[in-house]
Amino acid sequence: MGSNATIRRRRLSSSRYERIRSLAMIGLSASMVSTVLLIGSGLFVLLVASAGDWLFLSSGRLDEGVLDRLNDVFFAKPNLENGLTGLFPAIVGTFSLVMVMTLFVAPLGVATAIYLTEYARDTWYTKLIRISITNLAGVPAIIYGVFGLGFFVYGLGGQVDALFYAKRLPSPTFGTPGLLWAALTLALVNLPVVIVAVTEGLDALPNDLREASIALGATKSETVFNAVMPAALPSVFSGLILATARAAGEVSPLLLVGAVKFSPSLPLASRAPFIEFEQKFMHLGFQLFDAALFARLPPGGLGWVACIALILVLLIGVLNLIAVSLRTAILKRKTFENPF
Amino acid sequence: MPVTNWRHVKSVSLGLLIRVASFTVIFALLGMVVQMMVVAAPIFAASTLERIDAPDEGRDTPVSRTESRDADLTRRTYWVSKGGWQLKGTPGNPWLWVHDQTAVRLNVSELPSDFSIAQLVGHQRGLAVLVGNTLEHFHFSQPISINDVPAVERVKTVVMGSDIVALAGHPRLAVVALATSLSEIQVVDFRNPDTNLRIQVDVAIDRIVWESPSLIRALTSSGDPLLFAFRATDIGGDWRRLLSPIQYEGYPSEEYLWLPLPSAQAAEPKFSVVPLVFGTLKAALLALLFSAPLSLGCAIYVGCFVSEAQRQRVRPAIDMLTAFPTVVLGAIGLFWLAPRFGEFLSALIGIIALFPILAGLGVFVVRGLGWRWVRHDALDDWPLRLLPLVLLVIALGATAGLSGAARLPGGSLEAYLLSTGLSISYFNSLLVGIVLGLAITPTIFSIAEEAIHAVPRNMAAGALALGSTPWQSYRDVVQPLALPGMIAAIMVGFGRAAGETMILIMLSGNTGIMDLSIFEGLRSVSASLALELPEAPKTSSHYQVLFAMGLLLFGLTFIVNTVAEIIRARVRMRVRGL
Repeated sequence: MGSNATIRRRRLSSSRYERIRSLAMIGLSASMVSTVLLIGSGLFVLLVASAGDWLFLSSGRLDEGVLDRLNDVFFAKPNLENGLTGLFPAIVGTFSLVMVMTLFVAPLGVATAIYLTEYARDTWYTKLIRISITNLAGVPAIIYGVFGLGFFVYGLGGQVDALFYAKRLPSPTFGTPGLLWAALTLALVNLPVVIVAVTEGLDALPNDLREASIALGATKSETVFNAVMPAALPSVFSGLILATARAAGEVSPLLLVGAVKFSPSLPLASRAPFIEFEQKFMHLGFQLFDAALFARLPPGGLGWVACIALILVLLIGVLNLIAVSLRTAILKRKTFENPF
Repeated sequence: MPVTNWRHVKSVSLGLLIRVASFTVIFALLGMVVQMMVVAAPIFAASTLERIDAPDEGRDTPVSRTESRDADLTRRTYWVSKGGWQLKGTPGNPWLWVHDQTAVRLNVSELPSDFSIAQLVGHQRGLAVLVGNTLEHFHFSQPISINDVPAVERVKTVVMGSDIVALAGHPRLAVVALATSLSEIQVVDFRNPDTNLRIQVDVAIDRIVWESPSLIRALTSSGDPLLFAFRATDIGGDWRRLLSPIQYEGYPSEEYLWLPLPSAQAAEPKFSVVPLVFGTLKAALLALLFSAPLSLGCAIYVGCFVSEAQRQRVRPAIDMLTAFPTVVLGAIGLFWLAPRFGEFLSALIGIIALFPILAGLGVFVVRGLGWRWVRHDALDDWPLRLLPLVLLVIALGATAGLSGAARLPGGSLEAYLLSTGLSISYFNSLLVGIVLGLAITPTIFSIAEEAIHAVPRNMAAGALALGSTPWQSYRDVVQPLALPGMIAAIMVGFGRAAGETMILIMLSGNTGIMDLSIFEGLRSVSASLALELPEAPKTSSHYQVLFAMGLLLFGLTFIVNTVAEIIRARVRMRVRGL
């Protein structure tokens, strides 16, 4: 009898112990999620508070209105010594960089994704492509920068100069870091992002779509471009937006291939092709880096830094949000509505 | 039918175009490797010596007049000025250090007195002395205080095959050019004893002089000078100089040094990649230390314990951390964490120490009070319900850490650490590790969560039905299957951390010191690439070494990612079989 009672008590206590332990361990792992969310929102609040304090409340220049201050921050001439004014050229530079990058990455990424899902069978060649994609995604961005400097800037740029701008040599036109090379380098960095997103979207489409199109007598390319691609368009956009978001925040390759602290003019032109491909440009992330490393922080510098950081975070956050919601929408729509 | 034909032609050509475009990916990867190899290869080239008729104009700066006069005092008295001391030697007599002002004379017993020729080497930091047929290379070390006698130390001894009639020290490198009695011009590289460069000429040679770092002028008895071009990379064709410790001229012992742009213009650049690789690995490992518990904890919870619908919401929420680009994280670390690093660290220690205890306790207290906030049958929104608790725990932990630090002797953590003899630099590895850890958390989380989620739910459900608690079913059923995937996630995170650039540039201090202390700064490969490559001339050894380092970093991440990918593929196969 006695031994029976001990056994029962032991079993009970062991099961109780396990339940408590389970609660505690799951609580611990769940609180890790809370911690990450807290850190994220904490950093965001920190940036918002510092930037807002400087923009709207800062005691430094109370006589100045908020609109004046905003005007200074964005549209005044960039201040070379210590920043604090003139973010506009950097914003324009970031946007033009991202636009030119999309120009390169969109056709290449989409074509590769189409090839992998619609054209190729599972051969050694597609395996090679897939391995290359996963490895490209893992290569550090700075290595792309090194490649861009060696191959695009000094290699291709040098050739272009020798062929078309021989008159201006030895001062280089394209053989020096610039917008075009930066955009090409970033396009390579983000190629895997686009390919993976578009492949995911194409894979999610039902095969009925393709079979129906082929059965109606469409050729392969008509099937792909008229039936499959319109249905996969959201995934294409989601991939491109993700790439854009990443490109806006990626600074390390730009240190090598084109961003500068101060560029006297915007990389835009009034005649075709409207973008000065060979020009160096200003970039939000680079401004932040520069403020951090080289500029001696003047009074109000902290708010200025927070301002740039906040704009970058908001830009990337909004782009990410759009991409993610597009993606969840696509993945939810696994099957098409039955037409009957 | 022509219409159909056109449609088919269009289809085929579009298909072709797509096939060609798909090659870009392979081109990018291969091109990167090939291009870096091509640029980096010349650094490993052996030195060359060839006879030329006329010097290349503008290739090198000629050696300044005064310096060649200094190096010119063959067979008579030699002197080298080191902190007020001058070295004097005449063949047959002992060497002397003579002080400038006091005229104190001291014997230099280390240097042989029975020498025939002596020459200064490598911008006055070394001395090549010829004794019979033996060439000896000595280093001077800079005296620490003004009255110390500079130390002289023999570094290398090279036995020559034949008699030597003339000797000239290279103005920049530890290299001598010499002429033998057999009318041979020879270059001896003390950095790389394997170098064997010799050219036979047909006239007797009186003297040789370095006209510039790459040009030797040999004066013959007939008066006609002969010119020789000497080409050497800054590592003298010896790849081991990139990896092994080297006793550089003017340094007391063998050291790993990364000084590609020495302050003295004529000094030898020092390319040891070891401190940079060390810094990269140190930063990445510290980052993992902070990131692994955080990201794996999240992955376990999201991958195993929440419903599919909730998972679709939580994953993007954690991925939102990627909206902070690394340059922003670096700026936050630089402007908000670094200035109050001591307080931050003491609060963090408090939080880390108390977090498991308090959070676990908190769950019990909540349950014990009968509040059914957290229940095994409603695991979905624990993070939100636990939010106030976590806030409380963090606040308590931080307070405890700060007040604990205030009670330390010295009044703060920094003062205490300083009093124990540690030195804390403003930019230190720990700060880098913390911020870098935050940057790689979404990466590790996403991959580890996928691995955990890939384990079929019915297995965990089976364990639950047999009476195990949710945690038991995770630990005994899910985790063994997901563990390889979690390890792969950590490897990918390591690769990401090793290649990260902006945080390291902004927070590491970029000091190339090798020190295991987490309170010292570091310099990483990636930061070196970003900072030095734009300034390095296109044909310099520095540029080539940087590309070689890029290749090294590429190789490191490539191997780590490939292994992780193989692990993930195998796990996927195994899980699919269940």
